[in-house]
Parts: sequence; C-alpha cells; structure tokens
Amino acid sequence: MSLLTFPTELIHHILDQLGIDDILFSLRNVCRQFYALTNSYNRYKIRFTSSTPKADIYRICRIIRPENVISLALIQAHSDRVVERFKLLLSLVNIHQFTRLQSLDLYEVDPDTLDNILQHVITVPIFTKLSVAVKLFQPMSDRTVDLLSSILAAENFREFKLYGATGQIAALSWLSKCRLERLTLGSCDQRVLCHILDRLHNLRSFQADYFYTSDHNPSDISLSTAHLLTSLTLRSNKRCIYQYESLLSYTPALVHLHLTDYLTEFACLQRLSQWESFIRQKLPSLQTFKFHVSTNEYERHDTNTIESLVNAFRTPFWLQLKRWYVTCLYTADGTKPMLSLYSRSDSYNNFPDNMSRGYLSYSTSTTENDNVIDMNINWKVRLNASDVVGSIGLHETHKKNRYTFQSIAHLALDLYPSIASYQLLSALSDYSQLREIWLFFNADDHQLGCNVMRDILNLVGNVPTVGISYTNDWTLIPEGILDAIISHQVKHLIIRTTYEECMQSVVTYARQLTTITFIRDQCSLNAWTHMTRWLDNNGNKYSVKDDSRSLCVYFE
Amino acid sequence: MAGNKIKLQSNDGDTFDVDVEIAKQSATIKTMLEDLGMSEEDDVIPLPNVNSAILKKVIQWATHHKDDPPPPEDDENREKNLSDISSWDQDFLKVDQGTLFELILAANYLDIKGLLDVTCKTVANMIKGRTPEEIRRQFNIKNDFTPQEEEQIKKENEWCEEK
Repeated sequence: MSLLTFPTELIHHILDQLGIDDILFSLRNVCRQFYALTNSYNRYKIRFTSSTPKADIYRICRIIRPENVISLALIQAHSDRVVERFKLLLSLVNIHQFTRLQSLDLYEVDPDTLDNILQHVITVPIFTKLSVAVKLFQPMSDRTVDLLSSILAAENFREFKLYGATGQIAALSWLSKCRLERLTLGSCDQRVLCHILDRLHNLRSFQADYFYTSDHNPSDISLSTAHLLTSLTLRSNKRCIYQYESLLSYTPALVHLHLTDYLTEFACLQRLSQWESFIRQKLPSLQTFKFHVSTNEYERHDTNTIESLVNAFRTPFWLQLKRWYVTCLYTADGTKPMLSLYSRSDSYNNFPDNMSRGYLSYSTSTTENDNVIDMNINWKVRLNASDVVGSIGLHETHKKNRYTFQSIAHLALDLYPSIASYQLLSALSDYSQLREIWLFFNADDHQLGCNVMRDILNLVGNVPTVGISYTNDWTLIPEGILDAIISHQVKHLIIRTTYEECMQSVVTYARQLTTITFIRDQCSLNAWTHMTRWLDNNGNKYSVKDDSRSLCVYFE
Repeated sequence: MAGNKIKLQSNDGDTFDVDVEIAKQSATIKTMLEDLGMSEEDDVIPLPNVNSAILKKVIQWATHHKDDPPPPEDDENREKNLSDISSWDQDFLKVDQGTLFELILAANYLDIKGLLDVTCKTVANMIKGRTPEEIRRQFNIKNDFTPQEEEQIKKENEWCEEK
C-alpha cells in the first residue's frame, strides 16, 4: 500500500496537519501526483512570524491560489518585522482574491489597511473568525467601528477576539441578532461585560484577559440572560468574590470555568474553599474548574489555617465526583508574604522548582489518592536554613506555628556555610513520611558539604530520594557526600547539573544506588548526546525524560 | 447498557466480541446500531473494508481510549489535542508503514475521529521538515517529473532578492 493510492480527502486530512512550508516547498516537489494535490488542496493556512523569510513570502505568493487560502495570521504581536511581512504579502496579492477566507488574525495593522481588509471580509459569506489587536493609544476610527459591527452582524460569523481599550469595545454594535458563539476581549469592565452578555444570546464562550470594575460600575451584577454560556474565562485583580458569585448565578449552563485573580483578599480564598454548595446549586453542569487566586493580605502565617483551607477541598465532591485537585502555596521572600490557591493543573513545575529560593515557602495539595476521612496533610517545604534555623534557635514563640509542620514529605534546604548545627530542624516537623530531600549548596566548601549531608540524613532518617544542586554548575560532587548518601540507603539520587565530568564521576562511583537522575533547566533535543554516548560505551541503562529535561540512569 | 457486547466481523471472517460502548467510538457502527435498528445481542456486524489484524488494532486503540472525554469545546484545548500525540499512542503507532496506512483507511471507514487524527498526524510528522528527496525515500515514491516540469518547479522556487 502506498500513500499515492490514498483517497484525496485523506491526503487533505494529512495536509491539514502540516505547515504551508512543508506542503508547498517539499511535498509539492516530490512527484506529479502530489504537485497536483497541492494545487487542488483548498484549506491553506498562512501564518507569518517575525522569522518568516521574505523569500518564502515571494515563493508562497507565486505558487498559491488565494482562493485556496482559508486562514491568514500574523503571529508574534507587536513586532514590526511581522507587520512588514504582512505588507509585503498585500503588495504581492490582492486581498480581494481571498474569496474563501474563513479566519483572519490581524495585529496592529495600520488603520487604512485594516479597513481595506475588513471591507473585503464582509463580502466573504463563509468568513467565521476574526482576531484584531489595535494599538492601545490609537483609537479605532468610526469607519473601523462600523466595519467591525457589520462583521459581527454577519450570519456566519462565529468567533471574535478583540484586543483594544474598553471604550473602543463598548463602541461596537453588539446586536442581539449576532450569531457570535465565542468572544475574547483584551480588557473589559463589568458594565461592558453585562451589556454584551445581555445581547449575545448565542454566545457559548467568553474570555476577558483583564476584567475589572470601574468606579462608576454598580457593585451588583444584573443580567437578563446568559443561559447558553458554557465556557467563561476571567483574569482579574482585586475583585471581591461576591462579584464572581453574582455573575456566575446568571450562567447556569457553564461547563468550563477559569478564574484568575491576583492580589485579592484572604477572605476570597476562604470563601472559594466553601464553593461546593454554590457550584452544586448554581453551576450544576460544571466539568472543568481552573482557578488561581492569590493574596498578599495574609497575616497569620500559621500552617493550621492553611491546613483547614485545603481540607475544605478534601470532600467527596471535590476529590471523587469532580476530581478537582488544589494546591495552596505560601511564599515569603523578604517582601510581603503571598498565599496562592490554585487548581493543580495550573501548577507547571515539580518540586522544588515550584518554590522560590526565598526565606520560606511551603505548599500542600489534594490528590487523587487522598482519603476523605484521613485529613493528615503532607507538606512540601523549601526554606533558607540559615534564617529559619536561626529563628527557631532564638525561641521566637510567636513564630512557632509558622515553622511547625505536621508532616513533611518533600523538603528543600537552601544551605549557607554559616550554620553550625542542623539539630534544630528536628523541631520543625515529623520526618517519618519524608520521601524526598533537596540540598541547595550555596558554597563550594566540600568538607562542609560532606558534614552537612551526613548530619541532615542522620536527623531525618532514611529517605528514598535525595536531590543536590550547587550554585556553581562546574562542581564535582565530593565522594564524601556520595558515601553519606549510599550509607543511608538512599535509592534515588537527583543532581541538577549540566557538567558531564560530574555526571560521569557520579555514575562511576555510586553504583549501589537504584537510580541517578540528572536534570537541567534548559533543554534541547541533543542536550544529552555526549552523555548518552558515554553511557552506551559503558553499558549503562538509561532514558531521557520530561522533554529532554532529565536523564535517568538505572542500575541493576 | 454497560457490559453489553456486540460481534464485529472482519473481511477475512474473524469475529470479535466488543463492548458496545467501545464499539460506539466508531460513528459508523453507532449509526448501524442506533439508526438501522440492529440488535446488539444476536447480529454480527460485518466490516468488509477491514481485515482481522487491523480490526484487532482498532479495537485495542478504542479500548484504551474508551474513557476519554469528548473533544473539548474551547480552542485552547482543541489545538493542543491536534498537535500532541500521547506517549501511549506514539507507542501504539510504532508499526510498519503499511499497517499505519491501513489504520488510517480503517479509521476513515469506521469514522473514528480520534484515531484518524492521530494516525494522520503521525504521517504528517514523517513529512515535516524533510526535503522532497527525503520524502520520496520515506514513502518509496518515484520522482516522475519531466525535465520541463522540473524546470517549472525550479522557477517556482527561485530565491528572490529581499527588497
């Protein structure tokens, strides 16, 4: 069987997954059949970035039939190079020849060109999707507003993204006859949001990248209907949670909800933890709930408050029915402490990367393995050992709760040479559940490192996973540190390094371990090429993981 | 009803018992069951365009994906789904080219959108970033352009001075 015997519709399906370069500059030139297929294919999508060579634009314009293009997009907004490339395209091809255009993305195109293009797409009956970013301090002309309003009213128009000032957005005619289903606005206040939702009866999805309340906005939200809205995304600052509740009480059909609010009040986080009954009553169809709310108005600094906050999400509703898991993260790095509560899928980094190297940060999460009866919490903690051990040593009783954790499962210590003893760490927590410990050495004093490793492992007992990171990447791990790790029955050693001599010496020396993982912050496809060649030559088993961020070496 | 089975018959005569819910990932089979009033228990559904080996693979794929949520409505997730191939699917599709092509034809005939997307994406990945000659080698295709056509292609791809 050959690709050449495939039905045309299936070849087109494959072409749908390819960029225009691969289709026009490679596949087209393979054989006569593909050459003909690329002429008949009529779902071309042209995307320009600032790195698109001008020569490619000439070639595309020479080959392609504009009537076969369904999408034109300028990627990487705010780049003069992209705008320049778009101008070149328009100088080579008449925009009016794009008669089957369905989708258009335009970023900061000059007003006359914008009007010319909009004037054309009004005449294309199958045009469905438009994204426009206007320069923030360059108001849209009345003509642009009229043209956009006409497009909005078109029978087949379904999706609109507009990045501009709220006043300009309000100036458009949001008529109830619009068939718009998906709307994204760069910014929008409460009044405009209500105005739009009240009129667009077919709207299924709404997103505001900056949602705010103006001084003249009423505190209560009043809408007649938003009964068809199934997806809502709002990014905001300092909004009161009652305003969200007020708005969401008008959207009973929501299936996807994404809320982001920075610098809100602590009461907002507390109220959110009590949303089980609100969601049951007002949002019965909700399937996806992502959120990230944070406050710098958290004064108590004690772990008990956070435990009760997180435990509110450990109910059958959150864990079993909805399978929505949350993380609560406290960070103190010298400025005002920050407390964040977020849905777990919003957390991109693994421990300890998701915690800043500040004074103290700790987090706890609900997981799919949680038992709704067992409310014991395991903490992930990263702390500056000098500061915290010093504070514990001073017996500052008002700070006692801040440094007391029921049970730590993951611990990261930022280490400085100034600490004489780590014995006081035992006052911090019970370490019987400790699964992972990271030591961040901020000095190259190797003898000190060996002593610290031994002292700390003696203190916390056997721990399956140990991580090591040196500030200086060109550091060889002293054998004394590896001896301490091996003698404490550690199974898995993780080292943050890109230094191959370090990796090779550790793999050669520490073969009693089960696994050694090397991780790096920057990754590329060939990042581990030399090291894997060395491992191959020495008969080691290994795998590259996490998008090439880590290299795992296994021992028998 | 959970646990109900149907029988699917390949074009070489093999019959497979499959959970109805798994089989219904195929819009073709779903239509047969729902619109044409075929009974789930007794009838055998013949699939004249699919051989036994490929049908077995298709059932394996559909079984693994039986609990997948329906494709999300929002764009963000939809685009992600198209560009990513899960590691399970990548392993599943480590097959010879003939099998991959037959899977595409079967997914198209059975109307299983998820399988069609992921198989076409796999073929697209075999094309991405390659030169015409590399594509010819990859798919065993002969260059059948006449000298005149080669000249035409050369003209199309002539490099232009940047202005």
